[in-house]
Amino acid sequence: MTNRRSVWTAITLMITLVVLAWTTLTSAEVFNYPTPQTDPNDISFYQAPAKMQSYPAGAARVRNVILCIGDGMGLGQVTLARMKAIGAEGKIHMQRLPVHGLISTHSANKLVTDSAAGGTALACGVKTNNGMIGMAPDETPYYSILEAAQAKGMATGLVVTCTMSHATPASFGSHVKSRKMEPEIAAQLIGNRINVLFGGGRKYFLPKSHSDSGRKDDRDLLAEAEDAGYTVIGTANQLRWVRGPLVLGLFQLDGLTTLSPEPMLAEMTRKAIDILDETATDSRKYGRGFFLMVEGSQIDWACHANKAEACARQVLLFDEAVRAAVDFAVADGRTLVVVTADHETGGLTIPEGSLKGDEIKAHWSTRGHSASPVPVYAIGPKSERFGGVYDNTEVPQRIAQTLGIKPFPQARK
Amino acid sequence: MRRRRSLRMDATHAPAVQVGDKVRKGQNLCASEAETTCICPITGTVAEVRFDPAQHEFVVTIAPTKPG
Repeated sequence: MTNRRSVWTAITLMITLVVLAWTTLTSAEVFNYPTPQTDPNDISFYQAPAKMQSYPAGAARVRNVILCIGDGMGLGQVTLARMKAIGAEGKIHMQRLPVHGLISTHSANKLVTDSAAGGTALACGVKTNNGMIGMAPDETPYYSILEAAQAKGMATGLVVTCTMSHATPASFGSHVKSRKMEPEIAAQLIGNRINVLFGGGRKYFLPKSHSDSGRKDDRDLLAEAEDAGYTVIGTANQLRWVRGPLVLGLFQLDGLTTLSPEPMLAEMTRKAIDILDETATDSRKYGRGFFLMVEGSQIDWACHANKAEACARQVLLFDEAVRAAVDFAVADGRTLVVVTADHETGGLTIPEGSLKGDEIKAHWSTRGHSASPVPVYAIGPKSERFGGVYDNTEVPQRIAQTLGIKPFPQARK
Repeated sequence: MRRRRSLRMDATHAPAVQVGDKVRKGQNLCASEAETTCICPITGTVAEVRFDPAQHEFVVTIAPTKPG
């Protein structure tokens, strides 16, 4: 009798465990990450497109703009990721967008740009010297397309996997002489009241009295952000439940690891879109739509290390974020999505490999950046304006045209 | 006994040296097209070239030449 009771207890326990496991798995599928990401070279998370043909182009008025930037992502990086994930016959999501272009990336003073000058070109529509953020070589600050959109009454957001104050996001929300001024950049990002800020770099928001601080002053930017109306979060679980209109999500002291338990870039992108769309719909102040910049920041880092597996994974993580943006744009019909890069890193080519995508050999010609042109992919209303071969400064200029923002570029007085 | 010395340089351009290269005190280890010069503090051999993503810099470590 006792034995039978024990057997039934064991069976009941097993059923409970199975139900719990199933509940956990299905709830994780909401974010498309059914398994934790713990291997920096694992690309099993990637969901390849089911179709080969391009997404349909839109024709309506542009209400929202999502600009996706792969830091260091040239054609070699896209090709490597495609080969690793699908093989020679397939396309990753960004390649399925109906409009394709190429842009040059040189800075004002160098043939080979860095992310500060490259980011400034993509954000402000002007060339500057390597190292400078959001200003011309003569130190005249210029409005970024994010700031111009904000002035037009749009909600705005930045989503990255580097520190929030790294060169690319900094170019959209701050104006400083040097990309090294991350504590100052962090303060400007909060001061600019950008609705959504998701990334790493919490150390630059902590006062110097804090043991983890990266600041040399006593400013507590997390407290300042809360006083300004921001909800401040730091975990993936908090991300799932947070609401707008102002959210500061800093998920690491430094750059993100892009591994569990952090939120993945696609998850942050989906949440940012949800918040911004809701904010733009519900709020009079931000009722003119939204502008969001999403950066796959660590493609560049993998390429500086000349690591092909890590490079492919970072491109695919970024491509999942692109998919999130495109899924929203296709459903919404009024959202323009532009995917591009600030520069190429590593001089990557693929001299050998099989059609199936195995035995791929990556050849790196440098550990630095290169002057190779980088791709542009676009979808949505007025996306046809992003085809062709042109300069990186024209990307935000064309976005400004689609939004009816003029003049652009424009110096800040 | 002399210790290893490290030198930081912006990562936009690759360093002018690789692991195993012999370097001399006063030699510029930055690429010629880089914004700044990076003067090697000691004579020795390049022991490591590491990328620091937080600063977007290469860290070049020089092992000193052992005295004769």
